Amino acid sequence: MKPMIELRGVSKAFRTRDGVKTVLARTDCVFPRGRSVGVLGVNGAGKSTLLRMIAGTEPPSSGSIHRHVRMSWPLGFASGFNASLSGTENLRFVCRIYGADIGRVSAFVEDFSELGSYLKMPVRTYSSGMKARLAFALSMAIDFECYLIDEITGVGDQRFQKKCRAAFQERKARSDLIMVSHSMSTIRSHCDVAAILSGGRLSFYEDMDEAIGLYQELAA
Amino acid sequence: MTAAVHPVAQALRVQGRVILAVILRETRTRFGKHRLGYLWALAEPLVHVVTLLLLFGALGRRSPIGGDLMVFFVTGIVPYLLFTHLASRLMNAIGGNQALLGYPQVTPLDLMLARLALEAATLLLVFGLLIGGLAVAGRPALPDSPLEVLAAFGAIVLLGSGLGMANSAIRLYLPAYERIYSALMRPMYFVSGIFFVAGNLPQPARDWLLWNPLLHLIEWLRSGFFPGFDSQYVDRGYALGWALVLFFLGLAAERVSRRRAVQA
Repeated sequence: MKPMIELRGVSKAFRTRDGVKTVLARTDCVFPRGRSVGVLGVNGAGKSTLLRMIAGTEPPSSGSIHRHVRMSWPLGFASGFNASLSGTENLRFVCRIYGADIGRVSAFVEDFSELGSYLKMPVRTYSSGMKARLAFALSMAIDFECYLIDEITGVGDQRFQKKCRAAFQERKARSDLIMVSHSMSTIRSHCDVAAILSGGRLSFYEDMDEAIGLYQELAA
Repeated sequence: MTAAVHPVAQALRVQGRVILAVILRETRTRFGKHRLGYLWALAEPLVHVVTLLLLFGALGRRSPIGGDLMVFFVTGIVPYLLFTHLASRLMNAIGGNQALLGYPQVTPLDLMLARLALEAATLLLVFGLLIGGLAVAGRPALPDSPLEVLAAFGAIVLLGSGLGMANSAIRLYLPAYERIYSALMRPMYFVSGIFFVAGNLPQPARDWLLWNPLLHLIEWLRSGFFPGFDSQYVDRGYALGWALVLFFLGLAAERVSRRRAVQA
């Protein structure tokens, strides 16, 4: 069986005001199936860019990325919602592009997101937590084999966070996740492998404690 | 696993799904703040055309090719609107839907193809409503050769959307382009044969204006529409050549600028 994601000779760099920034330099690696990966890296290392490249919404500068499973869009605060449309209308759009059943997804999202009558209101009236709840519920309603999560799990109150964790646990058997977060406790509770992105290299660590120790040295 | 589906067929199915979803979404967002939504997309060109018809009707103008003045104008204004709407709507397709590019299967080309389909269908419907309305009002408004009219219509769609895709690419590199473009295009309203036919023009104006492919396309459409009119100046090959070259240039420009579009 092919791995979940393969990176072949992937480089990514872009120009900023302070010069050229390298996210990845000629990197070959695979994200295996059945493992949930937490990506660590200091601010500005390019974790979100990496996640977008894995999703396919941003092309690498060179090299190629091969995906062998059904992957979610990168779930984050900058969600692909149209602010003037209601939550329900945005939901219909996402269902259409993924070929998902609108009735089934609506029922799930209504129940899971706890947004109530807000679903009928324009997304611009939502708080960022509410947007994240909508995005999260929506992605849970569509069956992905790999979820890409960008700093989104710390949303909502404790109860909602617990609900997200339970939802992930429940589908661990069929779905994996790749997650970017600054919260070590979030990474620990969701992931079983860590990867550190630093200086254009991505290194995997089976031992979560070792990875977190290294990361804390980098961040210090 | 549904491994039996050919990857190309699968990709086309996804693209079809995405384009349809964007079309449905555009009908809601184009005039987002208004309750009537998509109806405004129909009403806007209708009001434009009806205003001009009433104005020129009151001035007592006559059709330069005989027959009914209102039908003459409709066969000029609607193709012109089709061309300009496509060119500007496709130019702004990416800017207006940037958030959608956060979904991996949505590409800039999908956004433009969706607008192409929606705009072409809208203007075809407007054309049908106006012609139908005039026919019901007792004017001689049925096309002599519907196929010829549709062919000209299709060529205008290619020309307008080709320019729109090229515009979109230029705009990514030159943000001020939008304003330059609208200034450059303003004369098109007066040199494309909305209010005249090439045969009525004095020389040397006629020779100059015949460089304009849109003039040819409108002459083409009218030649198909009116039984008593067959323009001796229309060069279908010239017009179609422009349309095809511009359309493929537009596609190529989209391809070349895609990386920039998704990073913007």
